[in-house]
Amino acid sequence: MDQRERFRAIHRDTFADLLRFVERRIPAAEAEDVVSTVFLTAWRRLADIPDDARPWLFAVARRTMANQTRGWLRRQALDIRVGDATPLPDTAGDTVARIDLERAWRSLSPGDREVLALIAFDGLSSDQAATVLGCLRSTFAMRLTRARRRLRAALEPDTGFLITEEKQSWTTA
Amino acid sequence: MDDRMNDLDRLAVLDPARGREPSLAERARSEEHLEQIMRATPAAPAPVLGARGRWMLVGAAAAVTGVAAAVVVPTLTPGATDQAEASWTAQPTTRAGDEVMSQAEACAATEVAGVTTARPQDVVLAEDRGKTTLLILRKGTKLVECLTVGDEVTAAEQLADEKSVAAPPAGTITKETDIVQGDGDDKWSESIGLAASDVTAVELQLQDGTLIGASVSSGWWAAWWPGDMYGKATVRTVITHVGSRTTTQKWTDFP
Repeated sequence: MDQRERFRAIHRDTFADLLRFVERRIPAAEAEDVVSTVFLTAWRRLADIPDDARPWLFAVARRTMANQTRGWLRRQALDIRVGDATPLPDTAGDTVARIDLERAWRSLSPGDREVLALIAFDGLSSDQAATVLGCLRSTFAMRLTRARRRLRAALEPDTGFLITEEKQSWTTA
Repeated sequence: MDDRMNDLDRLAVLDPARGREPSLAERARSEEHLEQIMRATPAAPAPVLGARGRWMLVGAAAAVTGVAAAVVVPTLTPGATDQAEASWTAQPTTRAGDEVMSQAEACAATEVAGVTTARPQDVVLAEDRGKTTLLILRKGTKLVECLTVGDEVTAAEQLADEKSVAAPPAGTITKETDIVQGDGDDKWSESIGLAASDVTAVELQLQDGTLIGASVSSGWWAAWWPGDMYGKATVRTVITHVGSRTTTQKWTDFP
């Protein structure tokens, strides 16, 4: 595959995920510009992009957001937003659970939210998430464990949520 | 909800981009942008982020005084910080200008203080700590400091116009710039200053006792180390050597 075809294939395979990744972290109106910059960087560094391009691109996006939107980020950090409270069709208990979950989420530090979001929202493995954050896998695993512990502590007093042990699927590629 | 559900599964309901799919218009715009990029850069992609790389003033925590100016960092690609910190050594290996030409050329190619071409005699200070090379490089009349991992510049900082630099009194040093970069547990710190011509060595002792040898060359000293100098990796004392004579000062005594 020549360089142009590889570049187009990377774009085809990752554009939607990359746009979602960015929109989770900055206002949607700014997301397309960031994604464009990421692909510009990707073209210039095409030879460096591994076969698993998505975490590499997410890492570049994260750096790009930190640089390009610094004025906004000074106020917000690279924080994860929360989705709109779409009405749940089930029971009142579900609504209460969501409210508790939101409250617990907001009580966490931006750093904890970032770690959790990489797994729960962005759908990455721990190896991939470590690449995004530019840290060792062991470091990420430690951060994830701590973030989950704090999430559990924030949930337990009011909701009695039963947090199961970490699944292997979250920690392996 | 199923109480047995994994906590991370539960969080998915809060995902702000849940179910978000790009529109046809968004895809079309992005694909057109892709073609524009390839048309504008028909040659093979550059192997190193150099003059064509995009450089921006960013939110690195920095404290600068007299001769230091802007701190500029490129859009980093993954892995560089890990490589730098994993191979870090407390004692540097001094390098001559002609031994670090590939790194000097990468530093010269950054837009910090303007793009230039490096020559061995432009290297004012050069040291290796593992895979990382720290350079102070002359770019025209200006001095720039670069950290490189391999040939990739991971940070660059404009220091001063060389002619504006005044050497400190005999036997003394100054501290001109502190920088902390990185995220979370992966921060690293860097400090650079001026040294009188008779200063033979400078050491920094961290709060945890780690003794870091700084590089001293051509009237400058420089060192970097893993950790946050405004956190756990704070410097406690600075030891200045003039031959066999040493002077120990508190880090906080330096402005």
